[in-house]
Amino acid sequence: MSRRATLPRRAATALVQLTAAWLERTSRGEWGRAMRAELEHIDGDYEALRWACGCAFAAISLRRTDMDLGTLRVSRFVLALEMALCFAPLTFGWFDVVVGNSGVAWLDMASIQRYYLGTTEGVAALAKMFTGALIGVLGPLGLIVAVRHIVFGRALQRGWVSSAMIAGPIVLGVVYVTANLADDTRWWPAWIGFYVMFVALPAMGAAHLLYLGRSQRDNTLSAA
Amino acid sequence: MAMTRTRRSSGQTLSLLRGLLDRPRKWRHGYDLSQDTGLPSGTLYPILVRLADRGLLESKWEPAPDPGRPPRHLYRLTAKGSAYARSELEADEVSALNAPEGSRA
Repeated sequence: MSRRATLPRRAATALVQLTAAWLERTSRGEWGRAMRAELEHIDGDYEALRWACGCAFAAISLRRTDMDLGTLRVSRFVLALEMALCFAPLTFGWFDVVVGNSGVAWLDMASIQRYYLGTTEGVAALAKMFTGALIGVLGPLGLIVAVRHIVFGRALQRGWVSSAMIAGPIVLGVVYVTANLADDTRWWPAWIGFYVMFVALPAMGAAHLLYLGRSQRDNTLSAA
Repeated sequence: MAMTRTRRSSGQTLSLLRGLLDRPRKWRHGYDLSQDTGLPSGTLYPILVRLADRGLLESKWEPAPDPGRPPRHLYRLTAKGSAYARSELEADEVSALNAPEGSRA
C-alpha cells in the first residue's frame, strides 16, 4: 500500500482483512476478497473506514442469512427419522394410556371411585392418565403432520394446531411434575426419560416443522 | 399450486437495479455502485450477493489492475437480471402512480 497509513486507514485495513478472513471460511470467500480489494481503491481514510465497517456488517448479515437457510434444513430422509424419533414415543405412550392394560378406555366410575379418588396418590395418577390420553393425541397428530410435510410438501402453518403441538407437551410435563411431586419423591432421576421422550422431543419436533414451514413460505414469497 | 409473488424488491434493491440498468453492459466496481446509488457497503454487498445467487448478476475479476493495487471485482446484470430489473422498476412506477395522493413522497 503506497499511501500513508493513518490510524483510520490501518483500522479499516485490519477490519476488512478480518472480515475477508472470516468470509474465507464460508462459501462467501470471493465476496470477502472483493471487499478487501475495493478498499485499496478508496482514497479517503475515513471513507475507507466507513466502507470497512459496512463490509463487516454485510459479512455478519450474510453469515446470519446462510445460517438461517443452512442449519435447520435437512434431507427428507433425515427429517423422517427425526420426526419418528420425536413423535413415535408419544404415540406409543398415548396408545398405552388409552387402550393399554390399565388404559382409560377400560375405566368405569366404580373403579375410579374405588381405586383412585380415595387418596392423593390416586387422584394424581388419574390426572396423569387423563392428561396423557388428551395431550398424547399430539403424538399421532405430529406423525400425520410430518408425513404431510415430507411426502406431500404441505407445511405446518402457524395457528392453533402448531401452538397446541408445541404447548401441549409442555403442559403434559407440568402436570406430570406436579403429580409426581404428590405421589413420588424420586421423580427427578426416575422420570428424566419421560420428559425427554414425551415433552422435549415432541415440542422440538413441532417447532422444527413450524420453522421449516416458515422458511418454505419465505422462500416462495421471495422467489423471482 | 404456484403461489403469486407478493413481496416486492426493497427501495435499496430498486436503487441498485436502476444503477446497474443505467449502463447494462458496462462492468461496474462495488465502490462506484455505492457512490452512484448512495448505498453503503453494508447494504450494497448483501444485495449484490442475493442477486448473484439468483443468477441475476454476473461478476468477474478485473483483468488488468493499476500497478500496486489488487484486482477489483466487477459486476453487471445478466440478461435475466436486466429483464427482472425492468419488470421490478416498471412495477414500482405503476405502484407509485396507483398510490393514494397523500402517500407519495
